[in-house]
Amino acid sequence: MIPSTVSTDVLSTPINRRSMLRGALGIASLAMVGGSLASCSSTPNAAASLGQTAEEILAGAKKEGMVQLIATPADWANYGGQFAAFTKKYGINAPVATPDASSADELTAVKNLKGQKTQPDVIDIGYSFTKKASSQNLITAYKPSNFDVIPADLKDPDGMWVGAYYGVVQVGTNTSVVPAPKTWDDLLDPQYKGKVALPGDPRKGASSIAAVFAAALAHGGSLDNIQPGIDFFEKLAKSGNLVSITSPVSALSTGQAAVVLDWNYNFLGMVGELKKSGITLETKTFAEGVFGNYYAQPVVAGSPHPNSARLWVDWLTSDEGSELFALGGGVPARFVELKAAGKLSAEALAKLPDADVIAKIKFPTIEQGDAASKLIIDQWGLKVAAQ
Amino acid sequence: MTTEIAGTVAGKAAVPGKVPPPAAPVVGRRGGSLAGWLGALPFLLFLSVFLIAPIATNIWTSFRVDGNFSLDPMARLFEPQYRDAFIQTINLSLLTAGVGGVLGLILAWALATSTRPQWLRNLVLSFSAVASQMGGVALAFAFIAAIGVQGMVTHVVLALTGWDLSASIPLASFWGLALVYLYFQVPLMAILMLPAFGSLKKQWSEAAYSLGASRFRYLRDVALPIMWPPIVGALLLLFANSFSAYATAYALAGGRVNLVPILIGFFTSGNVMTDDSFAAALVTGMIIIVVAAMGLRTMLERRTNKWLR
Amino acid sequence: MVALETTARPQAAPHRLTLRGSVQVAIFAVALVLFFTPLVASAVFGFTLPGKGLTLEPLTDALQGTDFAAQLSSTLQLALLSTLGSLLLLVPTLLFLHLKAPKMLRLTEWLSVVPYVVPAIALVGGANLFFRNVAPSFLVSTYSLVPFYMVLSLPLVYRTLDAGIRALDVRTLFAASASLGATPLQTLVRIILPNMRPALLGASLLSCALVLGEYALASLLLHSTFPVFMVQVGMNQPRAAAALSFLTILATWLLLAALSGASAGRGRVKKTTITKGGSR
Repeated sequence: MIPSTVSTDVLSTPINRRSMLRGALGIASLAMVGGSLASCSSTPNAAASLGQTAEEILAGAKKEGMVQLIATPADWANYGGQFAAFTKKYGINAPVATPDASSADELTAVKNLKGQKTQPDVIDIGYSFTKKASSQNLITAYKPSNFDVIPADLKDPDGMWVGAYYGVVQVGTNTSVVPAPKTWDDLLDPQYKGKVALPGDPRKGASSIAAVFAAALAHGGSLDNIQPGIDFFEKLAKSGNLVSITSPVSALSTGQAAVVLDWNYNFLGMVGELKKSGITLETKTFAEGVFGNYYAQPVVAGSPHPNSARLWVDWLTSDEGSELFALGGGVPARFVELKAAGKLSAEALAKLPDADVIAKIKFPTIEQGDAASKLIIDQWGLKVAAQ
Repeated sequence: MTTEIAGTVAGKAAVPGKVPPPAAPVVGRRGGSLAGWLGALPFLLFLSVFLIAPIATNIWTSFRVDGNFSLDPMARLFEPQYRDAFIQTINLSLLTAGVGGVLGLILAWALATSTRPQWLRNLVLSFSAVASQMGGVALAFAFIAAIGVQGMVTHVVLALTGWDLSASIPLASFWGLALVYLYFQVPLMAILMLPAFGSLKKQWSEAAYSLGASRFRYLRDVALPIMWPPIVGALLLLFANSFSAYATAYALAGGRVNLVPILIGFFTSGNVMTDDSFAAALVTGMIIIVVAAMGLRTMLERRTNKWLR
Repeated sequence: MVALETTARPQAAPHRLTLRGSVQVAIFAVALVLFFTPLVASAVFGFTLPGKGLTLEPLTDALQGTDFAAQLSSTLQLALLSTLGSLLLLVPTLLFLHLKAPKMLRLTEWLSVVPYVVPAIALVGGANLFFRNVAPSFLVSTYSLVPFYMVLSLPLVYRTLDAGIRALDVRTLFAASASLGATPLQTLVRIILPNMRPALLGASLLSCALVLGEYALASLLLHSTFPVFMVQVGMNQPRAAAALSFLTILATWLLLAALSGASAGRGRVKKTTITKGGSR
């Protein structure tokens, strides 16, 4: 057997070398940490001179050469078209970091990257985050040149943010699997068992909570009362018709869902990928329960490229920017004005929901939104998720 | 009697029924514990900065609302929907740890004792290492592609037997999730248990057999007492692994299954409502539960170490 | 006691296919089928288009115009650095503690399990708050993920290395080789490390596998690594994502299989030598 006693003398002499090796490695590892800390320090943003007039802003933006965006995927309301056209017109790049980040992630990024070159210049956040962003001093006021013609419910009176586009909740059906539902209550039909889905979870996604709002409006609720919406989805879950997904395009492609609720512009963005799986969607807005909402694009306070940031926000609310949003299904903020002036092309108008649907849209206030969120957070887990 | 023999073989005093005392550290008595602390210093420092500090910050945050001390976030944990989330998560973890543990143990046994064919064993071993780390969207997709509504296996089974697999085992449900978790829990158990099989010294089984013990007695009186603490230790690790799994659960079930990690995701990273303090409270709740489980494991592992010194 | 080594074990000679052997093969076969089926399904979904059969189209469409090479290289670097970091931190620590202060091992082992207690999502929250106030620029660099990956892989890496050291009885080895005139460093390099090869390889492979698949931490800290890229692709182009994840798993596994095959042969030979020497 292996002797279990060992002479102590033999091992005591090398202790110095051993602990030296030890110490060296210890210092090396600390140095590695310290080194990475040091190498990551970067110079704080050189205070870029902010232009006061549109010409100065344009000149400053061209000098800056880029505007750092975040969380705006190319197939979301035709943002891809926006990037291309903007770069083509001004020669300024518009790279997007983490396209699938959530609004909360965006605020985190702004906080984490404060003073860094990679801090986002403009963010695109759900309406419910605007108050948080401004109370945490993450954004700064800027009124784009078209500020006065933007409707009041799509902008902050002090200019802290504007909402350049909005959408309406629609239902998209893979008609090769099931027929398209005509009303909300059709969804409760047994033929839709295991096939109906929200775009995500309403405790996390703005598009999902919008769908619940829409259901509420269709069942006697109001912007102050989202309870009927929660009750409807509880029924849907109990009947086994509701499935949970995290990405509508994936779920439709793999067959995990056949009827999905989402923003109208997202359905347009999915067409290309769905075609690969041989799926065509039929989309429609239910006659009862029309709900729409917007996303805001505030300028980040103290960002590295302040002029480009302002130029970008100007662009989004300009005629060209509005047309591009419309081509992607995003209703531009100045829709009513532009349509009356005939400035939206026929192609763009065809991609948008019907004008009478758009006219019915009324945005909830932040207080109404918060109350609805609270109700959902309290009830959704037990009533719907746990079924 | 077999225990005594085993005790003698291991070179320690054979006191029937008692665990022999641990061998005293015979090296470097002078400044012994100081040397220990110095030696562990880089490790401890590293963990303090990158593990302990974030955890401490998290626990701190779970007791503060808007800059003031508050028990509110922690108190909210007891509301029904959160209690339910904790219960569901614990159930899922117990289930996958238990089933995964048993299956993983069988796989570990096969891996540890197999001699031929060598290539097959290596194949399974290397794949177990990969599978044990798999998760998230990739795993979710793989299972959807296999047994989802239009999955490959679903189609085959439907064609052969007319049974719709995906209707009986919907993936975005508690049971679907459990099935998917097993994909990484079983290999994880196998990998964790391999060294334990290796520590069953050949001499012990030879001694037992040479003295006439049957395989059953060997297993019951020698192998099992040795193996039991590492088995429980591994089971508890599996439990913790499943308890904190987020990416897989979210990718597969979204919000359909009420689980704590998913809730934490809602409150830290979402488009609707974020609440740092409550998210931190949820995490603290998780930490408490898993620490309790870990404490159990530490107590049990102490026993086996005495045998192996 | 002397006759221990020569006592016949009540098991079949290695060359016959025994009942035990067939059961093992059956277990392996079942395991492989169950491991592979979801992956094959993934590949089928990712590399085919309805009506077109086998094609690389979904994959090439998704990779076009993206910077995936940079993200892939980023992940590979992270895997390398994390693995090296873990080994450099743990091997000396463990050896030292095993030799000098075994009582500390209890503490370090308990600590090594703590990462399992905390989900990645919690680590991020805490790390964000902590580093924002202490060293704000630290989290900006992608390399800041290295220490966190080392932490995440700690439970498995620690156990593997620890088991490897325990299997060796390092005290005796050091004593024996010192009595033959070798310095501790020589002992370390020539005897300990080579005998730890299976453990070292195992630990490295587990660490690499973890980094290659780690999504939560990287995405929440807003870094673009390959797994993050795959999920982004997966959000909008599921077929390409399935194809990518299949390729990644395949590549990881082939690498592991090659390395573990290379180590298995050597490891066994060395082990026999040690055991024989020890029992004399």
